[in-house]
Amino acid sequence: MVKNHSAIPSKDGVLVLRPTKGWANLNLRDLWQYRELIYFLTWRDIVVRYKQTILGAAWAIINPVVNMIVLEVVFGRLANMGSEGLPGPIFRYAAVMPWGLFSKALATSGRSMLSNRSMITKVYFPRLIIPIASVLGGVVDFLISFLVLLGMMFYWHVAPTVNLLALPLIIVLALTTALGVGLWLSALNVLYRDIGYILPVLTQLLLFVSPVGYSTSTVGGKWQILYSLNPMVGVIEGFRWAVLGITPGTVIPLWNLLAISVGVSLVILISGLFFFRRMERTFADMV
Amino acid sequence: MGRLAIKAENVSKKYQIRQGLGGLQTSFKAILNAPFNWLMRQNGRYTHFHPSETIWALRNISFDVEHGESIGIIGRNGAGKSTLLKIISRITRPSKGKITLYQRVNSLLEIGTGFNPDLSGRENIYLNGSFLGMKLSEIKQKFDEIVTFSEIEKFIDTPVKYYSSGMYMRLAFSIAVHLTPEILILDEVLAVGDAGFQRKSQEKMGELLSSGATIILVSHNNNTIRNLCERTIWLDNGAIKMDGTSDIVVDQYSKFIREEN
Repeated sequence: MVKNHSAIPSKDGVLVLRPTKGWANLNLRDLWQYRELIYFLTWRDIVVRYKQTILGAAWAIINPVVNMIVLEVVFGRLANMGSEGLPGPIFRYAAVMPWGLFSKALATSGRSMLSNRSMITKVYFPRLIIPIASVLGGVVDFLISFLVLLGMMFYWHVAPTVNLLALPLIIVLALTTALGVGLWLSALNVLYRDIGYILPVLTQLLLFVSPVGYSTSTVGGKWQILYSLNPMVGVIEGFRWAVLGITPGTVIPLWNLLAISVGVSLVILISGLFFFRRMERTFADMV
Repeated sequence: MGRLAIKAENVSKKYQIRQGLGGLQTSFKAILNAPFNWLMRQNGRYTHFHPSETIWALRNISFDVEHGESIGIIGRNGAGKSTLLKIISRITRPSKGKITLYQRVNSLLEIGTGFNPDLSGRENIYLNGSFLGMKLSEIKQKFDEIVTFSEIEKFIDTPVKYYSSGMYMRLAFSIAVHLTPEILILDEVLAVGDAGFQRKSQEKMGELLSSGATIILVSHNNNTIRNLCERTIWLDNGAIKMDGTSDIVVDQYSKFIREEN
């Protein structure tokens, strides 16, 4: 039994502050009471992002389009990798979108505890709000980049299917995965600034072991299980399935890929939540 | 005896001043640094390396604060004043002992927490207000009052990075005094703006007090302490040196400081 119920208000509002030991309670009720702050922080991240830029929110379109072109040239033209019977650009763009959401969320949440240091040392609020808001902040960019996808679908006559209804679930999966990894990285970054240097390398590595430039069916049959332990595999193939209506020609059915992704992503998220709460008590003293 | 607002029992706070990171990291670093350390020793410039040092910022602090009391905290730099406020504000945890809070705490360890330079005054009022624990409805309701008090009506839609430091401080302070706290923790934030604004701020604090709020205030300004606080706690080297009526404690403290110099 862990004697660690400090800082959780009792019913009459009395709060006891004492040293913490062992694993912390997640205290999600506290998080709920501060939900307005989640909203404000997300809003701040979005509003501030394109301040004093000439192109403003157009960057939310330019970035994924440029990424798509690079991937199309390298994987489609130079490496001659297939695109499941669809035009290469739309096939790759449909992966660049969830990938962009994930990689941006990783970058911002990984640094988030440091960039919000002045608040962490000066005012109390559930620290979990910081990585949560930095992950949510990417959703608007993601939605804007959707416009290009719609244009491409129109141009190449790719009609949406009923699969589109599952899109919100896929987006939630992408955000869950990003938050899980972000929680680990942001908490570790408080102690070890090495994370700041590992992060870009890690993101780049993940890009190549995720089916962004190619299809999961390119990966050899016996490797597909191992490959799909990367939760972004399920997210990206799921996204393509939802918007373009295509299923990768993999040995393992798409549903199994998705199930593995959901499982792995939940493990990362839940362990990340507990790890973050465990480290949280040292944040104000260490950051 | 009135109702209790805060009860502190044998509170201690330990800080580890880290040189390295300990454990695996230190050993890894030691291997990497070994050749350099050797070189340094050859040059006679080698300084001894302490892996970590323990500092007790607070030692066995106990006190009670009653509902509606206003308490000043004084002491030299490094006496533990800010650490104590940080613990009461829930920013950091005590290493030993416990503190019981019977009311909701709002703290102002720094004004303008979370201010973003690229956002306008209007936007920052909402952001800062929510950091200080105000509800959206509460901020909306007090918005005009905050703007009027800060005297920056004309610039409310200008990004705060273009504000003069006085304007910035006034806006930040104005948000703070419009909180409706049960317990308010203040760390040396009353000395803001020109003489007129300072008087206005002190009046506002007086208003808060008479409305029944409990206030804990750290200040190096003896007059502020005397004016606003009935009782003062003097911290020295992490321990309570004196706890009593403000006039008496402040006098003793001033004498102590004079003698020391």
